[in-house]
Amino acid sequence: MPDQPAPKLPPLPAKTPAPGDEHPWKEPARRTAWVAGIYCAVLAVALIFSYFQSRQVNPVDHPRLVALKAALVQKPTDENLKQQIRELDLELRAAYFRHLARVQRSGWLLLGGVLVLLPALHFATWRRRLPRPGKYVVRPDLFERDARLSRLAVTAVAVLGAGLAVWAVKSAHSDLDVVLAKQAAPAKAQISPAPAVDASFPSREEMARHWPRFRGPEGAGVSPYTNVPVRWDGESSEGILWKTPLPYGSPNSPVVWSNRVFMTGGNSGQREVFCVDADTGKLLWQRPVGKPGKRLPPEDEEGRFYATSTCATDGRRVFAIFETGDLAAFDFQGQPVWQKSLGKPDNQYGHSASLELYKNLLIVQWDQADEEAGKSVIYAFNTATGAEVWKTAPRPVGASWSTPVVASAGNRTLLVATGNPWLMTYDPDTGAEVWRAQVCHGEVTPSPIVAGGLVITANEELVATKPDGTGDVTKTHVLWKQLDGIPDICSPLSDGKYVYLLTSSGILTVYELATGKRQYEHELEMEFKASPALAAGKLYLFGENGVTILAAAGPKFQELGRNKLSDLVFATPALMEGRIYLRGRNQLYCLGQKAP
Amino acid sequence: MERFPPPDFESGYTFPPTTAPPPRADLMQYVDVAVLLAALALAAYFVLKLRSRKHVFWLTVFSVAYFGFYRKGCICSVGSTQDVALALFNSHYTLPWSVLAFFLLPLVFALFFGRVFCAAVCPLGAIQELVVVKPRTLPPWLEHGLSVIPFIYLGAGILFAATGSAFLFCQYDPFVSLYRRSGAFAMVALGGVFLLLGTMIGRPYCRFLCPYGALLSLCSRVSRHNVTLLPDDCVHCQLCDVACPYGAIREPTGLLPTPTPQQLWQRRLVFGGLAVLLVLGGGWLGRQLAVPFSKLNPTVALAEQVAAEATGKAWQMTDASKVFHDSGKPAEELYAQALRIRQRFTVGGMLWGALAGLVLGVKLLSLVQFDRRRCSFEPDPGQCVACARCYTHCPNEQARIKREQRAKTIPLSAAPAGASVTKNA
Repeated sequence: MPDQPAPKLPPLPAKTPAPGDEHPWKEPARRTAWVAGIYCAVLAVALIFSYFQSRQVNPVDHPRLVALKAALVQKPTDENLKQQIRELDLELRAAYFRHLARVQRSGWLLLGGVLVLLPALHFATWRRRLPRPGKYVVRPDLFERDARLSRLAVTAVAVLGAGLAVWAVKSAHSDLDVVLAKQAAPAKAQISPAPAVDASFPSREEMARHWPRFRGPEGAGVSPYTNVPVRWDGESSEGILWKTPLPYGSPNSPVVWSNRVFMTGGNSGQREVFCVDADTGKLLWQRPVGKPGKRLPPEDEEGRFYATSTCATDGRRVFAIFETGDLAAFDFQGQPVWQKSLGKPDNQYGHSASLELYKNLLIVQWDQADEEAGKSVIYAFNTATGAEVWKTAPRPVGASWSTPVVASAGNRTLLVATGNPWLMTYDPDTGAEVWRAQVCHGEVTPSPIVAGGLVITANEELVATKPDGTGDVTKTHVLWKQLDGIPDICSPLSDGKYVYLLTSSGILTVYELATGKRQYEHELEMEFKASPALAAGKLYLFGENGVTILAAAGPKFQELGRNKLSDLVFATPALMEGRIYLRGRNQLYCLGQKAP
Repeated sequence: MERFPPPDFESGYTFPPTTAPPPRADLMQYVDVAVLLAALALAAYFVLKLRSRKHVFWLTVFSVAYFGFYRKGCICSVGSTQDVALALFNSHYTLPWSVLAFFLLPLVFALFFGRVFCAAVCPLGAIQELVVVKPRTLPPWLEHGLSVIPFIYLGAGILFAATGSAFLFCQYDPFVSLYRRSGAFAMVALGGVFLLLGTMIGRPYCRFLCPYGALLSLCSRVSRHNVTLLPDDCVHCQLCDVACPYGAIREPTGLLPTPTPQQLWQRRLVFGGLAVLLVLGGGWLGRQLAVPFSKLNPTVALAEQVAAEATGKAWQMTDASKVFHDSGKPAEELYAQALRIRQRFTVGGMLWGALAGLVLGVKLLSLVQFDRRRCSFEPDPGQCVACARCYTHCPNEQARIKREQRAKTIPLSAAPAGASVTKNA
């Protein structure tokens, strides 16, 4: 069959513009508008993307920088860490300024695009305006409808506005009102006028600049200062700024805030808090705590001492606790702020756990009796008023003598407390338990520390526990354990790389923090009661006989020097800027170089 | 620009001393005011005398370039309202004369010539004017509902400025960050959103938020000269209505149904009573807002922070609270100062709430009665921003222009002898 020619289709009619739509620039303008529109959209998306990317190079709170800075607090002398921080800081700042320059350039480019887009859109959408079809008919009836709807709309705006206002009023909380109400309450109750209580509390940074509690900030025994004294001599008084006799020879440690040193002391009949001027050594005041009552058993009987708990200060007040269960707060002038009694604890050696501070909470680990008795708890009292803020559920531990610490671990803040047999952590804001691990044994005396992101305990075995668990983590979060060189009194110390243990018989044992691998063991042939401390890469080992050994921190033992004082040393000294406040049995020493 | 602390150099590097840009030369203040005055005069001339959209458009472009990109949106008349409010309530604040001029000149022009400032001089209005592409007409109820917001916002801005707390109009100016090409992301994004919205809804900021526009609108309602559309020659073609992107053209009313006097009184009584209730309720509610509002004041915010630290709610100190603690001043002094400021917010908030109630009440009352009778399409003097678009579309206006041009081209001497020259010839 011969192919038939395809029928000719009629030509398509030319695309004719609608009447009134025939502007000569319309088509080129439409194309230009598309190009300019896509250009502007791409640039806008790129700018938004660049903005979100720039947030990752924020030099203020970049997570890696923050982590490195936090690590530097633990290891203030680590030059490698400092170098890393410098490099990252420079990199982030450079990236940030590059971003700013990019934004400026892109802003101009976008403006250029918009300048093309707008006229192009104007012509692309151009239409000759035509009258509305048909004859215009006035519709007076619509005015009434519009007016009614408009009244409703205005009413809706009024209701919406009122709703927003009520919500704002209801959700507004004023801490100022809370404070003022507290201040006004005694006046309303017509109680004798008392000076206003300073209810503020220090920040973590402020705490870190002082030595506010046993073993300093976070109970780590690490001084952030690099000019801590390294040489002194009791015989020639070289390197001793002043020394002052103390009213009591108790073994609790000095705490320091600004130009005040606080300690406590007691004998079988009375207990006192006292304050020494940090610049002159002058005893400024001493105040009794609790009522004199039945005399306590003699000191040194079965290892007993009086006033063993170290006091704590938040820069506004000083807090002290005694084996009688008396807890007291004094302001810096020695005026009593509040006092209370927790009752005499069931504790065979007497209560020894020192105090911890967190925000405006004074934390008291109150372990007693045995683990079945259910009498052990941790209290948190308001530092300004002494009111109980929270109390943990009964702790399944017996009497202990270690001090709790509140520290940042695993991206959260934990209250860490040890007792036989549990290492337990709590939310320091509420007292709710977070996790526990069965890693403590015997008479728990060395305090826990948090270092290198691990919780370290040394109670008959040295255990490193990861802090990010919940519930019982004994089988899941214990990283490593060691059994050699475990101290009985002195608390462990860490520079973030190694853990240093010191037994009271003078054996210094060092483990690698990350792996638990033992580095060395060295016999110092001295007795120790004070916990070791660290400053500027040097270990400070305060012997009971008044001799302090300085050794290099690290995987090998290297003695850097010995300094002698003719006094017994039981307390862990405070290592401050250019000074060490060392409490001997009879005197308080301020070690440091006199200003030239 | 976000700021962050300088690096801690240990190499002995010393930072150069901090320098502040020198204050703008006095001469330039005169220049700014002179430019404003000239722009206002030109806008009035272009709108009312030349009746030329083209001239208005190029003046708009100039304002975007000068007041916007060159002067970076500051000084501006919108923000000057707050300076004036602060100067009125705080004797320690010296109001620069140029700021006062920026506040007063547009208002004075509005009293005589309508909103010619909005037409082509205000940088905020100008940038929106240029992006109008495909305007949509909003339903009247929505226009009425949103039209109360600028007055309420104006009151809030005055309240915060008068208490020395914040310059809201400047802080939340959506276009200034675009003019400066820097600023917080949220504000840049807000400016972008307003401009995108402005392509379809004409001048959304001017119509439904601008506090200075609210003042200009009040002045314009009583202005001596305004935009008019040859009402005697209106042919009801509706082209002006179609052309106006801002819904400012009012339709002829025709013969409106007249309520009986009894009905009218009844309505007046109901809505008048409602207006009084709104004023009282607004005043009461505004008074309650003293606590949340006062937190925007830096002193009160610091006192709240210090109190939060004292109650244990805040652990970390802020920079401000650190400085306060370091100063050694007693917290009680700060608390007392904060309470004094809050007291001012109590009174000011009550007045602002009453004002908001009054605005709502008056609006409701105005909606009870029908508009005055109109026989032709007319621009609403309060709403019209004098952009001159309607001129280009009104056929009678075009015819008038042609007649004028023809009259100019035909010399009077060439007129045929005996022919009379009419007024419109």
